[in-house]
Amino acid sequence: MKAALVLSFDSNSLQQQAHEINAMLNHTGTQFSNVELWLFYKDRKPEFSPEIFCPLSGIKLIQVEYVHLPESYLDLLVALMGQCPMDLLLFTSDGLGQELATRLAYRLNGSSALKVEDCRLIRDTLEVIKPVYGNNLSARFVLKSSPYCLSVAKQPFHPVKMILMELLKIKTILLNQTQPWWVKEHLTILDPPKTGLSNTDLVLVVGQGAGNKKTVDVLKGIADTIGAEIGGSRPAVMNAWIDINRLIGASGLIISPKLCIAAGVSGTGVFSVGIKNSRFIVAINIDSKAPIFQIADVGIVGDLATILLELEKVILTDKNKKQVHHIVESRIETQ
Amino acid sequence: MKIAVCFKIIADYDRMSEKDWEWDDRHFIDISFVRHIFNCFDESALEMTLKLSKQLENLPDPCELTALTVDDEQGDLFLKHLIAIGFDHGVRIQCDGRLDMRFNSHGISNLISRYIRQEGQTLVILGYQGGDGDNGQTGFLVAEHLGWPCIREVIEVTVAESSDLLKVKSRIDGATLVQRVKLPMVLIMGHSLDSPYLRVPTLKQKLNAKKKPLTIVSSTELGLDNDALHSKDKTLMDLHRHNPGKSCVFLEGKTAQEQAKKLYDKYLKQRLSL
Repeated sequence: MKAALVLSFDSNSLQQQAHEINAMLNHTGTQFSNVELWLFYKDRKPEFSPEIFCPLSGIKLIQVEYVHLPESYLDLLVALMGQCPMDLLLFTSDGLGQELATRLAYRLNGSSALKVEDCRLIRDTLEVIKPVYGNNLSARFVLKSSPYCLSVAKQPFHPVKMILMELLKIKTILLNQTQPWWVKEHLTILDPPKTGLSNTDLVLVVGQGAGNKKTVDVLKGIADTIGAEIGGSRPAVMNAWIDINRLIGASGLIISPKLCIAAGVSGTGVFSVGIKNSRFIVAINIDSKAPIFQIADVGIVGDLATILLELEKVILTDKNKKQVHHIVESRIETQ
Repeated sequence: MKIAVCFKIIADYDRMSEKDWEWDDRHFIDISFVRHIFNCFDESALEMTLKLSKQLENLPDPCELTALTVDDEQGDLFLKHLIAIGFDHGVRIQCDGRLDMRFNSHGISNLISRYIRQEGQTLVILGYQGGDGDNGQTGFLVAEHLGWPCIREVIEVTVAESSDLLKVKSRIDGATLVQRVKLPMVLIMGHSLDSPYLRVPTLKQKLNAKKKPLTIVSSTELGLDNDALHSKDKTLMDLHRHNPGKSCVFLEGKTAQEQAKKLYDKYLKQRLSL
């Protein structure tokens, strides 16, 4: 089976996206006879590429002019598939990867699936596993027609390193691109720097159970005191209690801290996927039957603000004791 | 300007207990007893369209809003709700109940695009994913069927100088993209803080909506029989329920203070490097 891994060099998440594709290559039981990296770039031709954990038979560098338009990538991919057909294309987990997988499969009469966690080639057909029913279940599908276009599942933050590309394997692709008729003008507003949520040890995630912005502001203060990054479930974000770049879940961030405190979060499937990789989960919820307790290591049934304020006091007391102890010790040493 | 918003009604999975996640021989789960709600992304799409129509009132081209769903009778109540809050038409496309459309984005998008071609809308808005299938593909495929461009992860839409020009804000990798675009167009809603929830109708609006008829269109009326709608993309083999394999230890205590102390001493102290 011939496969191409499709990545965009200019993406802010290139190394994480390569990690997610590597995770898929690790999981898959499918043997590839030939794997190519298809790397899109806009202005400067890349010399480095993210590390891919399988031997690459070639690297195609494809210049894309209208970098914000999926239609531009699609036209290029259709032309490239005409020149070098592949059986399987692996796309990134982000919106662009999902769009390209779906639309390319449609244009090439192939099959597609998104958020794919695993794939296996079984007697000339491809089996894939992906979440369904709001991440409450997994489904195994047989995809019927090649080329198979898959957007891989999101993974916890673990960016791969960039390595120098082997010159002999590189081929640069330049194809004609037409200006889109529908875009009259466009402007890109860059996000503020990323939060430290993806690679921190301690996260406090707040849900709808917090009840109001005032309580969430108190919880933000507690997070500061105990050195935690704060995140939110979709309701907390949509109520504008928590910034959208701190959304945790299937359509937000997938985090894997050493300790995650989920407060007032019911634990829907789409949310739980965002924290289930945490090493230790503490859940606080007023409802003892809330699904969040199914993925928690420790649970407290009660009012989240009261418990967290008490927790803050306990932590501060212990911290102060340590500081006093430290000061006394250092005084003894100086005497 | 004619706008169609496609929406899906889904079961409120939060209300299902562990034992409810059982399926029959055809891998169907009985969700009939569970409360049904608007898919959250569709809810944003519907509210955003109502706001957009308000802006279009000042332009010479009148605005006509259609709420469209592919569903059985359960969709009617929701269509009535949408008519009550300002949609001009409520349309339900009815398929043969024997067809499994849960994972069939191709079939759904084919039905939607046939209806759009027939009725001549120039703007189609949908939520980015939802429903039992979690496919996340319908919007993209509607664009492909219609041969229109599409913008995904839309967060805000406003009218530009004329009714066939829109200013669309969407999320892309690490940035917000603001585009002035010409119709026709498919817009796929993401997390919109501008229109997070759907407005609630007044009693008077509800009573007025009761009198307005809904349009029910069968798939065959759109020229698609069961064979044409059968999924040619993928076949479901089986389902699997995740078992987190954890048994949560509940911390008891007479007071919150006691519970917090237990939590810290027993579980957090060693994990927090303060």
